[in-house]
Amino acid sequence: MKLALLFLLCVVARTDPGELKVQATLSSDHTTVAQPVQLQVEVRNVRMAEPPNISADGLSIRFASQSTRMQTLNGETSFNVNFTYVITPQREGSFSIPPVKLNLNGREIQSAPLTLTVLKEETNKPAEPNKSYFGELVVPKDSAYVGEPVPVELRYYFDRRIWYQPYPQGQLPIVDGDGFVTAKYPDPAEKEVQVNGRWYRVLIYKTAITGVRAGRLDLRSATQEFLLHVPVLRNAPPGFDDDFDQSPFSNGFSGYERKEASIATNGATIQIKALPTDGRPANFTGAVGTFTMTGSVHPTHAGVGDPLDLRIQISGNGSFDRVQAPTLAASPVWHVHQATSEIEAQDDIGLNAVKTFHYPIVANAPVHESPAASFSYFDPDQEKYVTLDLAPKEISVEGPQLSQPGSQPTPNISGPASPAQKPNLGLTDFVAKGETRGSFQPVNRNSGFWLIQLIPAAIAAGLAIGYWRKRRSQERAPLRVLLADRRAQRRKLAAPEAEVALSAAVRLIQLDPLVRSKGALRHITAEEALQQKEIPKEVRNGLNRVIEKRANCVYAGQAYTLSAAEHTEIKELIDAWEKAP
Amino acid sequence: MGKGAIKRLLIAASTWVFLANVVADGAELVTLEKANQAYREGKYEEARANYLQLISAGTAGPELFFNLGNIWLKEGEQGRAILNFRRSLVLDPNFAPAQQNLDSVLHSIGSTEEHPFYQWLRLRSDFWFVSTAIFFWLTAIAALLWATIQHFRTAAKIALLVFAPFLVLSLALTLWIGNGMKDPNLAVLVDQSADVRFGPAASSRTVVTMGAGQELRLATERGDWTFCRLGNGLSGWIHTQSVERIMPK
Repeated sequence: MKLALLFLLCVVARTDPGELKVQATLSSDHTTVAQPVQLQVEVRNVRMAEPPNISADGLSIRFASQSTRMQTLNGETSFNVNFTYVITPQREGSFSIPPVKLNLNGREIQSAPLTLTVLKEETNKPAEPNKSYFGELVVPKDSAYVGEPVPVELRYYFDRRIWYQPYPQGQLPIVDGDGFVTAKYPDPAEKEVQVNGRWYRVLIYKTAITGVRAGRLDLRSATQEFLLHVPVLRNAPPGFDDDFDQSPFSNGFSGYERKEASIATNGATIQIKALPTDGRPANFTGAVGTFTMTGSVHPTHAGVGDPLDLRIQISGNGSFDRVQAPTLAASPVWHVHQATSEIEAQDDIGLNAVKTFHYPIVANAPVHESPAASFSYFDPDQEKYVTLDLAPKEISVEGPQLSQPGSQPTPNISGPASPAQKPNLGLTDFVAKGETRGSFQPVNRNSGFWLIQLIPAAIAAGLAIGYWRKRRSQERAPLRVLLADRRAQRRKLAAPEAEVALSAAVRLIQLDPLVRSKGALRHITAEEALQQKEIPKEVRNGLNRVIEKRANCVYAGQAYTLSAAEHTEIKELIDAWEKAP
Repeated sequence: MGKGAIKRLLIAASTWVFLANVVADGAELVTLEKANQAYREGKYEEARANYLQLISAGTAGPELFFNLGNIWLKEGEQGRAILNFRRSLVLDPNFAPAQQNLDSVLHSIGSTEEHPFYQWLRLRSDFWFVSTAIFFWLTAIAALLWATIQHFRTAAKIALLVFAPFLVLSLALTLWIGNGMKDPNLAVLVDQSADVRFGPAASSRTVVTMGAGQELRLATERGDWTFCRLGNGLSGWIHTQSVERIMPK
């Protein structure tokens, strides 16, 4: 059975090779000296891969394990390979982990670079370790540049017997201070830590703070409101300076107290430095961080006038909100349109990401190179501006040159198209008539349409009713015949000839059960009919005499005429027979 | 009040209604003529204002939207041009000049009509709905004839075999297409570009940047922002003024 199921799974599931992709993530982007963190490298849509070599100055990186994961989703099966590394920092500082490069099936793929901040051991310790709950603001560096996002953690420690939740639910911490902006908060993480021998649950909010002006940036505190359920002691021992006993079996324990608490963290100071004006490139748009740039053109073979997609990817670590479309080199051949962009975040707060720009480009003459591109940013580690250049890609655009009077090539467009740009596109242009025609209202919201439906509905209903009446009439036909027969026999009861009147009476005795069965009973003798009803004895005897007389008349040939008294008696007997239930 | 007074009152009211209609029609014709004249003379701003006035008065012909699209295009507003060409095609899916100009504009901004056959089907959503209704009744009546009248049994059976597949096909298309391009929540980006963001605020992070003329489906509105869903499955908040519904208000 299991083998059959496995076979079925193999038949049904379709293996989709998908796009090769590698993603590297750190279990925590900051730590302390000698405190290891985990590096996960996930290679998607591949069954087997060799663990890549990763090294970085100041970090001891050790390969730990490898696993392969198969998942089937909507009938499509994919394989991912995961490599786990353990990174142990050897000294404090900010370390850049280079992109993890893999060569798979002749194709080179790489992840985005990562940054690990290593702090001194003392700075990572909570400020108030003896309290039942307290907050802590962790800022990994004490200086940054304007526009440089600094990842921070807001940690809220709770003794592990305290039940807590942010209040109101979904409320995010408020960082008190001026001259900075905070990034979007991802969902907070929770973990358990031991501080000075006491276990705490820690709620960790990650975000990034970006200074917007040069000078001293004071983060006074980060406050968060919580609803707490705190264990209460009935008899606290004298001199006991804690909120409750550490022992879960304390005799003094008497339930939980519900309370609201506003927990503030410690403060921190960051020196925000101005970006240097010397050497600032003309196309610098405010991006601060460490970035790389790659590009491609699709398709690589096209005709003159066909739109191509020039795709430029900026990946790295930094202020992606300020990463604008790279500037394309001016060219009279290329007509460049407004770029669209999309961001794929590689970490929780979006500092590590890949931003992809799509430029629709149209060549108006044969050409064999795509436009070159350049992108500038400020590298805070090197403390200088860096300009990345993307070399033109080899392509083939063939065909006759386009002549477009009035249309101007728009090289080097990185902002919205100018309203003055009036393309001559060979449009159909005529002055239209003022005829009102068509409607924006869907026909299913038009009452006229539903009224018209009444016509076929009436036809269908007429047919259905006619069919029903016909069926009913067919079902009642035998009953109608019996009723007509009974009426005829009733008339014959008054006949003077004994044979006719007695035969009619006997037939009426037979007809009564036949009518009562509504035609279901096809034939019955008079004697059988008499057995079917509970009637008075004298009526039964009288009817038996009628049957006997009728037999004598018919079979013995006793033709005679009935008297009026006999007629009356027979009529009364038949009435009594028919009225009997 | 005597009978004569009532009669005079009725005559006066009828005359007033008649004259009011004549004057209104005259005003419309004058505005249309003025709009066309301004268009011919290259006074696009004036022509645009007149066309917009006519459209708000209910003169919603495909040609008016077509002209309006051309005016926006001459003023470099590709997004609004695409919107009006689409409106023109909603009113008349077979209006070839509008389709031709729409294709030209899309080509000029490096885009193409995504899934042209699907778009062709969407423009004709009413046709599929009406076809479904017609084939439903034809199939139902054929089935009733087959069941009720022995004499028509063979003919009804043939009719059933013919109509039922058409009913299934048109019903499937109706369910797939829905209201098509007449969906009241369907909108077009009229700005040259706009960011779709994670939250209804300019400071919120960008999900994707959209280009002029791209389609999106609007959901809830909050302040100056509207939650929207894009064709590629992404969703987010966009500035309400950057988009305009295909079904004009």
